[in-house]
Amino acid sequence: MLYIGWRMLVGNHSKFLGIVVGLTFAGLIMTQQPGVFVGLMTRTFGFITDLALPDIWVMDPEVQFIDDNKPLPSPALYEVASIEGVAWAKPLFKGLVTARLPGGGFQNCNLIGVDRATFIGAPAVLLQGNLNDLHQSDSIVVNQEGALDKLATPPRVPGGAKIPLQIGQRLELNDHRAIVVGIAKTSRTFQSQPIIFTTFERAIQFSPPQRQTLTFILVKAKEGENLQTLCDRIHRQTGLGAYTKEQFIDLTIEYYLKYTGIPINFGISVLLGFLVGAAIAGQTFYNFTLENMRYFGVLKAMGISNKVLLFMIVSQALFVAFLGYGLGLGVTCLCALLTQDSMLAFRFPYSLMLFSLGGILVISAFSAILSLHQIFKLDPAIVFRN
Amino acid sequence: MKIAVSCKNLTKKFDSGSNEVIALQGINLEVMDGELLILAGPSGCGKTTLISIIAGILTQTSGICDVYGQNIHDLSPLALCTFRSKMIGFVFQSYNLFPTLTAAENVGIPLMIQGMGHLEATEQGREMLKKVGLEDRADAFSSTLSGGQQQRVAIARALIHSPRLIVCDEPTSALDSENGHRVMSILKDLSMREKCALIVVTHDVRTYSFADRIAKMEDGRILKIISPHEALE
Ligand SMILES: Nc1ncnc2c1ncn2[C@@H]1O[C@H](COP(=O)(O)OP(=O)(O)OP(=O)(O)O)[C@@H](O)[C@H]1O
Ligand SMILES: [Mg+2]
Repeated sequence: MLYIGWRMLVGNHSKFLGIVVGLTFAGLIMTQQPGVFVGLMTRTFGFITDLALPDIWVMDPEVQFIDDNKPLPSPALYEVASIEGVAWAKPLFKGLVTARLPGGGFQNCNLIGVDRATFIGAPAVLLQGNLNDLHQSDSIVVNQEGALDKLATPPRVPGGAKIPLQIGQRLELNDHRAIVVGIAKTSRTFQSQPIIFTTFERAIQFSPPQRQTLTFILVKAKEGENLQTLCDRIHRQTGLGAYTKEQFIDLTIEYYLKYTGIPINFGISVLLGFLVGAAIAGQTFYNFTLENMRYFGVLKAMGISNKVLLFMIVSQALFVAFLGYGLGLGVTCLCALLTQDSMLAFRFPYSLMLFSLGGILVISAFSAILSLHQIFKLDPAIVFRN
Repeated sequence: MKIAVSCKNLTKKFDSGSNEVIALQGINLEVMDGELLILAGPSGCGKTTLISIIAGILTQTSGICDVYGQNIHDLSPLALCTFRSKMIGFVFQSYNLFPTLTAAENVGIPLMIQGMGHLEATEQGREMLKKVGLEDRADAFSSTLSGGQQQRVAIARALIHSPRLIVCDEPTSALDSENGHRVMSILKDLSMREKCALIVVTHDVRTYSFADRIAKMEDGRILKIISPHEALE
């Protein structure tokens, strides 16, 4: 009988196409929009994940998220470095600086100062130039997005293309001369300001005078050391905040979720998209059942049991659900591929795939139950009414 | 001859909101094995209601309905389903063929309901179509067949699982007289060969000659049971 169910479903090509398109659309908005949402949230901690080496981030205990700059007194670095279980501890400066562009404009930038000897905290991938050139005086590395857009020279003719910032060009950072020696690839950040990397000491020169300059201490644990235990130990001995990379990410996301309306508002629209998708998917399948009521009546009159009807409906629902979901996911992936290197934030982790699959399954179960309810209560005596 | 159907004092009331419709008021009827009984009577007299109860898809308000010795309305819902799937064949005025299945697949449905795989059931459906003279249309989608052809497919479907009782509600009223005649003679032939009981509801006087007996109904009652000969006079 599953065969009959299958033929009822796919037999009418245009109606079947309608169901599949409906479910594909549902699958698309259930995966694409949450993907953008997750992508957007990922940007809030892009800087943390870009730094692969450190296991633990140490900071002022009051710090709530990655861009919350509350510098520490310098001796904290040596205090942390001497704690048992710490393989190394490196300073990281993170602040804001105003850049005066070659074309004359001003632009606020993130300024990152990294350990001069090891460059820990510097970008992993340089598209142009060499990190070692940071040893030259006044040298800086800028990120690609910044170089192409906000730090670029305005077009010569109105409507023309911007001229990207090049190696060898000069910027003025707080009235200090800076020379570009490299273009780095970095993850996009939430604020999307250009990022300027340089050595820790030079970063302090570039930025406005301040009492304390040590924003973060990046810590590598000794091999075999339990990270949570080490975090606790650092916190106990220094009173500073110490988080594993994952914890710091969570802290940052939590902050954005709690204090900026953006994720909530975006989340609501994602939820709405999900519900709309659910409604379309459920509705199309339910409609299919209603349109075939007469035939279900005929089967009932001929003596089909409710158990077999249940199998038929559930397998039909599962089939269209997986098909629609698969196609929707396919379109989502296509969108993602096409927009890979663009402004669009998009991330699609496995958990999200499972989440939207779960959503689709819940919907198809729901519409299957509604359909079954109608079919079970259908009076087979209708077969003799016209 | 064995008694196929026996109705005693059957009544049926429908509660449609405030007003109550009495569709059957005390039906007593016996149909024999191998017999073709025609139910005739004016519109609304309860013909469809009666065959629905006899076929086990509607429950009477009172009275008893035995089919081959089984009081069918005593059966549990599942047992009643099984009973229908084995014992009853249906033919409808509007054919009720599945438009997205081929003729042979449509004919095989009763076997699939009994658990046969679709390939084997379709193959047997093809065989059955030969008996109604439609072997060359076995792979045609039922929606592409003419009315007369569709009804012949429906007859093949009603007979494929060798049911003991076949109920037909106005099987010829959507057909012209030639096709109606053909459908009735196929029905009669096959049911005689299979020795099953056949109850045919009809308005169509031209089909009377196929009947063994004709039950005239009016107002939910059986007025008289006559021979085709008497009816045609
Ligand atoms: N489900 C129902 N609910 C309410 N009333 C019904 C229902 N089914 C039938 N009736 C009523 O019962 C009576 C008998 O109906 P039935 O369909 O058996 O007549 P019929 O003899 O088959 O008529 P026709 O020749 O027009 O098909 C009619 O008055 C009809 O309106
Ligand atoms: Mg009727």
